[in-house]
Amino acid sequence: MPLLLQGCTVDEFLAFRISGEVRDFERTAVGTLSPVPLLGVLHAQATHARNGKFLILGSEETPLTDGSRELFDLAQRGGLDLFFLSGAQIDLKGNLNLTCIGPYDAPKVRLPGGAGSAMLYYMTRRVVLFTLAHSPRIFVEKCDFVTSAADTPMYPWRRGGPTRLVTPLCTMDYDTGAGEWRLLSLHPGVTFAEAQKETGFPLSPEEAPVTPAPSPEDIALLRAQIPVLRNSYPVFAQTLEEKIRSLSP
Amino acid sequence: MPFLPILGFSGTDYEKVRPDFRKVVDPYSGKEIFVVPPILPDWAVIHAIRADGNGNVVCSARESDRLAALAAKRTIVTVEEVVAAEGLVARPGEIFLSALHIDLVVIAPRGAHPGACVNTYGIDRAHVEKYLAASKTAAGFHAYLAETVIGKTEEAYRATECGTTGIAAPTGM
Repeated sequence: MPLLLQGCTVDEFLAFRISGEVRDFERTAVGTLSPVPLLGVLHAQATHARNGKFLILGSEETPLTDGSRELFDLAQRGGLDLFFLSGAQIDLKGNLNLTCIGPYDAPKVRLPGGAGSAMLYYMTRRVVLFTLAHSPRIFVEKCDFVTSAADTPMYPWRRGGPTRLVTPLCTMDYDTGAGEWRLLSLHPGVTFAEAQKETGFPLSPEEAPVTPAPSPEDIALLRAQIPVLRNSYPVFAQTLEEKIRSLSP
Repeated sequence: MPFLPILGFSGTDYEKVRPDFRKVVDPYSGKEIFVVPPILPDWAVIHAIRADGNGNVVCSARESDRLAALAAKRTIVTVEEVVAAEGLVARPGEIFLSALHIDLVVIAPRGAHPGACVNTYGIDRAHVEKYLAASKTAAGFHAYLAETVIGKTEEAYRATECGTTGIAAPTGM
């Protein structure tokens, strides 16, 4: 990828961008398989969201009983402000596929399933989507299977939905009027043509600002969170440390 | 409960493939809402941390173990150890489960291996990786069983497979 970053890894760049989505005095939860959002949330907690409440998988800080049930109950009654989801496929309309690639009855790939996403995507006030790759296989015109839908009537069974999408090439904004993604920013070094080539649906507008990069202070703060990150994602933390060590000085 | 209303799910493909996910009219709002039937397992088998002599246990609060025990028709709980009734306290990450919901308690130290047991031991990653590699093929899976499980006593399994790994810092995973 032609992404040009100075002094930080892609994971840290994306985590910094995700940190910007976290607001102070809110309840933010980080679920399974979300190491990059967790790093972003830890950065936010150390900077601009010190008064937030954070529900972090594997953390002792605000433990829950009864497994996911308490998280699901919290979201259903309107107590969850921000959550993070990803998808094997994400389409123009913001739908997620976590179920299967190909037809449901004869799938090419059977995926782990939606878990609580078909509820959390509706009942959390803001959901930030993230992907650790950007290709036409992920960003499709229409999902093979809609595990969670983005564009459904708000009243009475929808409280929120997708707001942003953070990928290794760009960020997108969910336009609730049109029910579609709009290009919000391109990462340093990425051109519109490159981003469009890797996206299976039309991107617009063609003019988009450059995604802000973390300052040296922010990079240091992100790295200071690695010991906490390790509690939840030990393998990811180790790989990240190796990537940081191999950065050219 | 015959069914439970659930939030979300509108506009998804679940309706096409899950005939048991249905819609009813909410008598209060007049709007349609999804309902799901109960999951009624015949058995729940969970691993808990400790039991007392009355068969009450303290299990992990992080997973849905307690929920599974409450949903099932019959429940078996394996435990790390048996303690005196006054010592059956739930620490952070743990939760009490009454003997009323349990049919059988089995003493099985290291019973969650190679998985983790809250506040007691972490995941044995090397063993899980060995299993994942072996279970890619039927032959590999049978070889794994022959090497680690079949014909082994609990004591022999603990001695050869558990060793001292994984006893260190408990993890949340």
